[in-house]
This record gives sequence, C-alpha cells and structure tokens, in this order.
Amino acid sequence: MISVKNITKKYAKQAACDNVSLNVKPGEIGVLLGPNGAGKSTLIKSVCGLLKYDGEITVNGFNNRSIEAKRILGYVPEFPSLYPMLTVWEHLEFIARAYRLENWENFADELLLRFDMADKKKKLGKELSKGMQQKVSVCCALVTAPQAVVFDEPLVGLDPHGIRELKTVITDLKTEGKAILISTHMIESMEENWDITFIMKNGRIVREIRREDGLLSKLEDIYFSITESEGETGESK
Amino acid sequence: MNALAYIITRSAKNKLFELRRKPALLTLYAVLLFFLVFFIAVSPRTNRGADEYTDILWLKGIVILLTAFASVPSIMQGFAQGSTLFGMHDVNFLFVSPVSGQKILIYGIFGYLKNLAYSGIFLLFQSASISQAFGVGAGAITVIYFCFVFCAVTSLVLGIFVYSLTNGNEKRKNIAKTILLLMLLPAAISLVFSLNAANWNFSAGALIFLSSPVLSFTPVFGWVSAAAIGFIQGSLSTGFLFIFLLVLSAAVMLIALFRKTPDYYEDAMAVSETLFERKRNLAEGNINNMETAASRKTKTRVKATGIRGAGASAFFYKHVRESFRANRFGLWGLSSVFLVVGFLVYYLFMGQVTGGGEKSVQFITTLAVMMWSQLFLIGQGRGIRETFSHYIFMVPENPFKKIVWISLEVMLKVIGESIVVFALICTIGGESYLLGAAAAIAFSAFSFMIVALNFVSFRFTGSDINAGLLIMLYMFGIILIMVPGIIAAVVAGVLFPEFGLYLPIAALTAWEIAIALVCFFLSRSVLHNCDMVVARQVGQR
Repeated sequence: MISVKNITKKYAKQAACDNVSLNVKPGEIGVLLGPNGAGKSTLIKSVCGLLKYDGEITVNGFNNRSIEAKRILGYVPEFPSLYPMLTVWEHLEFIARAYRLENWENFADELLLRFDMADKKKKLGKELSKGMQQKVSVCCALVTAPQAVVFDEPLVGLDPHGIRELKTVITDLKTEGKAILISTHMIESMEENWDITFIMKNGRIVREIRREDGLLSKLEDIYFSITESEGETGESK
Repeated sequence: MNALAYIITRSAKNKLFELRRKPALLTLYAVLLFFLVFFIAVSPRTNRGADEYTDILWLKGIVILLTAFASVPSIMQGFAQGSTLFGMHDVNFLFVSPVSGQKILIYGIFGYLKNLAYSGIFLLFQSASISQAFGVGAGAITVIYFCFVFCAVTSLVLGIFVYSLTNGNEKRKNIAKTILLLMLLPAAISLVFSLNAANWNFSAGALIFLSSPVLSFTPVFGWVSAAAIGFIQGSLSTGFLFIFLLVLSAAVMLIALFRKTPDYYEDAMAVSETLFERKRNLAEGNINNMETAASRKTKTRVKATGIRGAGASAFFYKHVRESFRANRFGLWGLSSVFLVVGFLVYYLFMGQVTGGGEKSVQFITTLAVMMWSQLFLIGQGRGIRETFSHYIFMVPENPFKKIVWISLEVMLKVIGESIVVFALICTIGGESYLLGAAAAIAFSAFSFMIVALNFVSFRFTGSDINAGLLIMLYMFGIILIMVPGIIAAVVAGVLFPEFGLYLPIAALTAWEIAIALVCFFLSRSVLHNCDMVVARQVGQR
C-alpha cells in the first residue's frame, strides 16, 4: 500500500534520506525508529508529498503526488497546525468539503467522542491546548477515512487518555485493513502492535524487522543495540 | 571575566566566526557596505543649488515621524505586557544565576541597543536623497541615525518604567496614559493654533508648528527632533541641550526602576515565554497559530458557523469565515482603513507639493506609491500563509485550482480597497470617476501580478518571496518586469496625448495582466513540485 523505492532527499550536499526503500502492506503497522536527525521526519514528509525527492513513492499504486493518492492518504503531522479562527467542528467541515466527502458528520461526531472532544466542538483552534490540538489533528486526518495513514510522532503532547485512545484507533485501523506508517521515539508504546519496524540511522534504513520473524529480544533492546553500535552504517534492505 | 561581559563578547566573536561558514552572508554584508559607502560618497554631488532646497523644518517633521514609528510601540508595550528585552535563553540561564537584576537589565538594554543600531542602518542609505532634498551632507543623516537610536532607547526605558508603575492596575494605567497625553497636549494645541494662523493651509500651518518651541520642548519626540536639527544646523548648544534632556530623563527613570522594582523577572519571563512560543510556532510551521498568549485570552465571539464550498473552493470560504471571525468587517479590517487614509493623505500631500497645478502628476504618483506599497503588503494574506501548512498540499484537488482559490481572498481585499481609495480621491480631488476606475483596475491588476509572482518564486526558489533578504532581489526583479509596461505606458501617452491618462493606464494594466497570467501558468503545479517551506527548514535542522 505505502511503497517507497530508492528515495534520496538531499539538503544542499547532505542526504537526509539516502536511497531508502520500504513497504507497508494493507493491514500492517510499520514503525519507523531512529535517533534524532536519522531522517525519519524527512521520509515521512516525502511520503506525504510535502518534500521533493529522487525516487518513487506510491500509495496503493498511485504516485503519491497524484490526486488519487492524496484522496486515500491521511497525515498526522508532528506539530499540530490548526487554524486559530476556526472551531473544532469547522476544521472537520473544512476537510470534509475540501475532500468532497458526503455523509461525514456521524463519523466526525464519533471521532470527537472517542478523543473526548465532543464538548469542544465550538472551541476555536486558538483556545485549545497543544494536546487538544493534536487530537483535532488526528480527527482531521481520519475523517476522510483514508486507506493509508502516516503518523509523525503522534503521541507527543497527548494526555494518558488520548494516548490510550490513539493506540486503540491505530489498532482498529489495522483491523480495518489500512496501512499505517508511524514515526516515533516512544518505542514501548508500539511494542504490542507493530508488524514491521524500520530502524533508521544517518539517513538509511539499517535494519528491517518483521514480527513474524520471531524476535527474542524486545524492540527497544534491538533499537539500542543497532543505534548505539559505532560500526553499523547499513544498507537499505 | 564577568558573566555578562563574557556573553556579549563571546556572542560577538561567534557571530564573526559564523561568517566564515556562510560566504553568502558575508557577500551580502560586503554589498550592503559598498552601497552604504556609495550613497554617502555620492550625497555631496546630489546638491541642487542653495535656492532649491526644501525647508529644513520639513526634515524635523520627518525625524518626528521616524522616531514616533520606532518609539510608540515600546511605550504602548509598557501598558500591555512589559519589555521584550530578554529571550528564553536569558530567562533560563541569567535569571537563575547570581547576577544582580540591575546588571541584567542593563545587559538587556544593551542588547536592544545593538539590535536597534542594526535596524536603523537603513537610515544611512537615505543620505543622497536627504542631501538632494535639504542640501545637508552625510553628517546630517548620521546625526538623525544616532538621534533615532537615542530616542528609541529612551522610549524603551519609558515603556519599562510605565509597566513597572502600572502593571496589573487599571487605575494606574489610566493615570499614566493621562499624564502621557497631557505631555503631548501643548503640542496638539500648538498644531491647532498653527493651522488656524495659516488659514488651515496644510503646508503653511505645518511649517509654523514645526518651528514652534512648544513642539521642541515636547518630551522625547520634540526633544530628539530639536536636537537633530540643532546639530545639523551647527547649533551644538541646542543639540546638546535637547540630548541632555533625553539622557537625563532616561537616567532618572532607570534609577527609579532600580530603586523601586529591582525584581522584574516574573513579568520579563512571561513576555519572553510568549515570544519564545511565537518563535517555536514559526519554526514548527504552525504559522496559523502565531497569536501571543495575550491575544489567545481575547475572547472571540462565535456567532455564525460553518464553511461552504467544495474541493479547492473550501479554502476560500474558510478564509472568509476566518476573516469575519477575526473582525466584523471581514476581509477589510483596520489595516484597510489605515491603507485608505494613508493613500488619501499622500494624494493630498502631493497636491501641496505640486501646488495643485499638476493634477496628472499628483494622480499618477499616488498610483505608483500605492503599487510600490503592495510589494510589502500583499504577502501578508492568508493565501501565502496556507503554503506553510500541510493541508494545501494534501487536499486531493488540482494544484492550479488550489492556488487560485487561496489567492481569491487577498484579491477581493485589494479590489475593495482600491475602489474606496479612488472613489475618495475622485470625490475630494475632483478627478474623473472613469479615470479612478481605470486606476483601480491597474492597481488590482498589479496586485494580481504580485500574487502570481509570489507563487512563481515559491515554485522556482522554494521560498516565500517576502522572506528575509530575498525581498531586495524581489524588488529589483519587479522593477525590471515593470519596465516594458512603463515604457508602453509612456509611449502611449506621448503618441496619443488626446486620451490623457487613460491609454497609459490601460497599457500598464494590459502588461500587468499578461505577466500575471504567465506567472500563474508557470506556477500551476507549484504544490506538487516544491518543498513545503517549513518541512524543509525542519529537515535542514
């Protein structure tokens, strides 16, 4: 569903992503791990069509810059970006209209209820705390019922209820057959339900691990063994 | 070494070392320095002859306006949120350190002084035009520069002083406001008497007012303007007298500040946190959420709700909703009122300059100034701000449709403003309404062209053209682009004088529309072919 082939993204002469490839299938949760500056956010933004790159990215077979791909791709950015003068409900309405959705209202209500935001419908964007903004951001990404969803550090800023609910939502999305790619530093929060993990270092994927490969160690231990080893430069698998 | 001295010297050294790694910045500084020297060098050659110079009193008026521009915000801040002297790094490191509050305050003022000295350098570039207009040399502009810096620092101290006296107390704030207004009252009365003495002739009345000692002895603005003109005219005693008043008042306020409230940390910290939050929002691309904590507390009434449109048009209807929620007149807020009044005043001023004889010069000059100002104003619309957020990139619509719909709000704003400006000019100035309509179309077409050029810039450079130093290249580029249109307008005016200004304006408009259409065509796939500015900035970090 989300297919990244030989992506290279350079800033001046420095490669933030260096010949990276990955694939997340429908019904899979792909987790992107790596230290600061590894190139995770650059890769995520390239997948969402926010950055130019060399290589090929497709979503369900469509080029990620095509209208068809945009229609089925949802994105939760690292930093929630709400419009201060729109209410919570108007954010959802705006997205619904921009995506030409029909009969979206009940689903939007359901999303707000799940994230404890049902009573905040008339609150303006500027009146929300950062955590609440993050919840609205998640609702905006999901209200279009995307087939593939990309999360960039989605748990940062959320309260415990929000974290629990988002983890449930992510599991539900997986059950519904959606492809999910998550970039995060909170490894333990993803320990239970990941399917494939990509560990990035210095702009490259240095390790790709599938759950069915039968791991003996915890994901966190593998992460530290890889990222803290000096010699590993890795090849994109 | 003293901690504060270490910070100052180390920061300066690091700034210098940084230039070694940024050759482009070094080149830019060299170019700026070259132009600075060039303007100062050519200024004596631009003198026109002693009998042609504008009265030096007008320069006094310019100094007053200039210093007011730099000082009023500092003073008003004293009533709102205190000083903005410190950054979060100062709060986190200095405020918790065992360094005295007084010293830290002086350090903050020193930092402000440094920034002010940089930002005031643009004044030095005006030496040639000042020399040409008033027959004074490069020394005069240097005097104005230092007076500008002195005045701004005094106003900053006044702002801090006002804040420390009135913080959190509405009654005290009102008393302080009354005292400040009372200080300005004699000057206001003097202005009325001066205009009355000149039978309400603007220029004659203004000259009487500018020569009045009442104005010279008005605190801060009056003192600084009188000092500047004193030094420029060679009267050192006058110059030093008024500078002494300025320095004395600042010193008295500082001493009072040290004695009364040495502990200003809490207030300074609140302001620093707000500023830090703004910077962080900007860095994170949350440009739509740049409001300060203070403005977030301002209650916005939510009456009508909902957004219309479908697909790309939803962006336009969203802009309409946001605008009407931000202010009751929707797209046309207080900025539009300032704009209309400003252009109208300029038109009337040009009437005074041309002596009312050259109506066409007065009209065309106003149109030209309006167009020039658009270079700086047009980039503030919601349309260009959308490109800082991911929504515009991700909405599944044709990218060309998206840029057209996000530009519509600013276009409607400009059209509305131009109609009002030219309707007023035609009514007050007795110009033909048809000519006013033609000028409004030319102005709107120019704005249309600028919006399109912004997107082309975004397409090819990946930057918002209004960002930073790029604006200098941008202005140069606009002049080049406009040259053929201006030549066409002049040729049309010379070959067909019977059409008056109509044909030149029509030629200019046609050129602007042609360029705008080409630019929109070139930028049609901008949202699919460039980096989101903020995403790139974050990636580069």
